[in-house]
Amino acid sequence: MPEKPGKLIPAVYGGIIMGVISGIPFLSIVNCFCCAGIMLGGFMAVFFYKKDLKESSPPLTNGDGIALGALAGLAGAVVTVILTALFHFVFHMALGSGMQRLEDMGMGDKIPPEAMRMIQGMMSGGGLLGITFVFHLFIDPLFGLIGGLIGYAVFKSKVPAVMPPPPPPPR
Amino acid sequence: MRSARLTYAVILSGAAAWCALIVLAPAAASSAGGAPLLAPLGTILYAFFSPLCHQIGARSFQLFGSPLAVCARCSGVYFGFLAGTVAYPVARKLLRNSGPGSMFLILALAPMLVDVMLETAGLHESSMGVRAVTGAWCGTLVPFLIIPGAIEGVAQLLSRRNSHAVQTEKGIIDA
Repeated sequence: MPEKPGKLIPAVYGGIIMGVISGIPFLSIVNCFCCAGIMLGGFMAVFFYKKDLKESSPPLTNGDGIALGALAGLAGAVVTVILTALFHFVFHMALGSGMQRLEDMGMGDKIPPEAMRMIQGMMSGGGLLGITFVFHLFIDPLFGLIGGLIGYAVFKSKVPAVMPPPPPPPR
Repeated sequence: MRSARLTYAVILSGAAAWCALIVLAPAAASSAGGAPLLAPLGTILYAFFSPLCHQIGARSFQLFGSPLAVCARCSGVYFGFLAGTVAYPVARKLLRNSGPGSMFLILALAPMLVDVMLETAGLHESSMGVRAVTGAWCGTLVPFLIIPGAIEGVAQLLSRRNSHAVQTEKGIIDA
């Protein structure tokens, strides 16, 4: 029986889409709609995988959608942190817009200045890159997985996938 | 059946925890004066959600005098997702594995996309209620699209893992 194609390359492609959308300022506004950019990465990973499937290959399954979305999320977290570092250190673009947004929301007076200073200290330079990486390492596989499942629902073949037979009991 | 229940429970508890964090942010920020330890928690939660939503105060529901951690549309999507997840086992059997297709996704997204496009084009001025309702419509339908896939997918991954473990064990015994 022909083997399924590898998942790594389609997942990396999906991760690059995810990372470019999340890591480039202004483009990252797409994620303001419930992580649409991250879900798009998971969705596209399934699309690229489906393109690699041959007619004789076993059909696309839900398990493939989950695995591709989660893998694309891991790749996306790496790409995002690389691009964030690039924009921060090379182009000197300000990070930590979340703190500025708190001020814009009128929350500045509700939060004690010492708490604000403590968090601003944490969210500067290398600290912020670490936080960005941990944040994306958690969020990207989660929303990528949802994108992968949506991708499966869209790209699944009309013929239902056959579940593999249960393993024989150990002797 | 056990893995189906477990997968459903993980999705439900994840959605509930996510919505709790959205509500906890204004609660922590508002009580910061009385309990200073809560202030960093509120700030961290607002900062956590900041890459996921524009957090414009005028477009967000207020709780305890502070905006929720996400805007009205995102709140609609996330709380709708929780409601859809709660309703899922009532409306469908957990083990019914054929989920709806791409038309269902279009049906879920259409009202929200139409609202966004008309507003962007300047043809209609959306209100917070419309944003929340169109978001909630999408959020409520999405679990019906992804929960069957998640249940079936986890079962497939577990089955593959068990099959691999049995083959490895058999290989060791044969050797």
